Amino acid sequence: MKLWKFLLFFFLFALATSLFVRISTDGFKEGNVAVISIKGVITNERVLFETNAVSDDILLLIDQAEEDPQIKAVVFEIESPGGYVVPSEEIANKIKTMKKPTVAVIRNVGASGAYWIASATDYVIASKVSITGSIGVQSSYLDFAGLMRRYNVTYNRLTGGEYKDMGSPFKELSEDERVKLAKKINMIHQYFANEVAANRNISSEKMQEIATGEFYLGVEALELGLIDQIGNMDTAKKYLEEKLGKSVSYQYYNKYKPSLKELFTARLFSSSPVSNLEIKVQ
Amino acid sequence: MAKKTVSLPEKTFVPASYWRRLFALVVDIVLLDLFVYMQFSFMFPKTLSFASFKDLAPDQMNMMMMGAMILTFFTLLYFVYQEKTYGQTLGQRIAQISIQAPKEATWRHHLINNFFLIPFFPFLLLWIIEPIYMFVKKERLLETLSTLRTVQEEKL
Repeated sequence: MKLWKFLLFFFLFALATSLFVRISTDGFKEGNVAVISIKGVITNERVLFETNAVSDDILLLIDQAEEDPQIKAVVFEIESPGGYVVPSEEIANKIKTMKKPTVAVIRNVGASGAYWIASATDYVIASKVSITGSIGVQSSYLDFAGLMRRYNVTYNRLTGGEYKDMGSPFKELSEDERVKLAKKINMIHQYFANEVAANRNISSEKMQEIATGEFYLGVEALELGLIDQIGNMDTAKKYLEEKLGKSVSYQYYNKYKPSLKELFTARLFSSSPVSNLEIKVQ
Repeated sequence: MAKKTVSLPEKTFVPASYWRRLFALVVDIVLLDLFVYMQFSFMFPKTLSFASFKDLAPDQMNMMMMGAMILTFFTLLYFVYQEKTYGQTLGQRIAQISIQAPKEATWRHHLINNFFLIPFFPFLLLWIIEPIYMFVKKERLLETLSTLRTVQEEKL
């Protein structure tokens, strides 16, 4: 048989086989429940060598899961100590707009901003000893003013606006500035607590007792109404099988893959920790 | 006394270079991908990571295994038939290399020569063993076992 005849026969044989297999089977059945991971510090900044939960990426994955007709529910697998306020809020608000059932599974840690996200889902599952809760806000920073004074380093204050350098690590925080910052942090804290209270149907009086920034273990969170069940990913699977009335298989939605351009231009490491006023739910 | 002229051979066969072998393999795999593998893509997940691999349901795993076995069958058929019948695959023809086989070589020898194409353990280990063996011995381990040789023409 000549070579070209063999190749033609070979490819036609492959085509016939693929048609036969396609008719005989359903092919690879993708999962019907999307699993979106929220791992690392919640931020809106993509940093190349750090595992962060980037809000833009997660919002894209949520849209993807909502648009996929094969996906019947979404599980958020959470392993995060929290992060920044705005990205945490963005993800939580996005989850609340979702039409498909949502479940949060808190693994080792799902605290502060990560718990805010979990509370926005329909059902929250955590292990007995998962670290969760920590419904609080912090903006603590190191004050180098004393150290600079010791080494005769002067901070030349040149500002337009009395409170422009409020929270600078190179000068002492005045009482007036402390009061102002505390007020802003309290406002954010109150907003955070109110959101969680609304998400979890907890009264505002009870939320005042819970939202002290204290973290809770899974068993404590269950008693307080912060989670719905003790368990893990298998527990979430059983819950969804009962809710959806069909068998469930997971489809892991991959993390964002940076383009070649982003590999060369992305920030390699996150910003210096000594920066002006970082307010975190972490 | 009449002069005798002796005609020397103009060319000979030498072991094929590493780059020609690699080029031939790439061409063959691309051809197989375009005309065979893509037809069976419905048997595999669109995306798969190590994290999700362990969470595959049994029927999903079975479908993937069946797909892998079918693709292995077609890959071996492509390589073994062409090497036995024509002495070279289409990719090897383009790279100007060929398989030199002794007269007693059978289909079994050609099959052994292509064991590295089987994507299952322990054959996957050949992807590590073959390059190291070739670096030392200047021929593949499977060529030694199958008594076949991959050669290229060289002008004298």
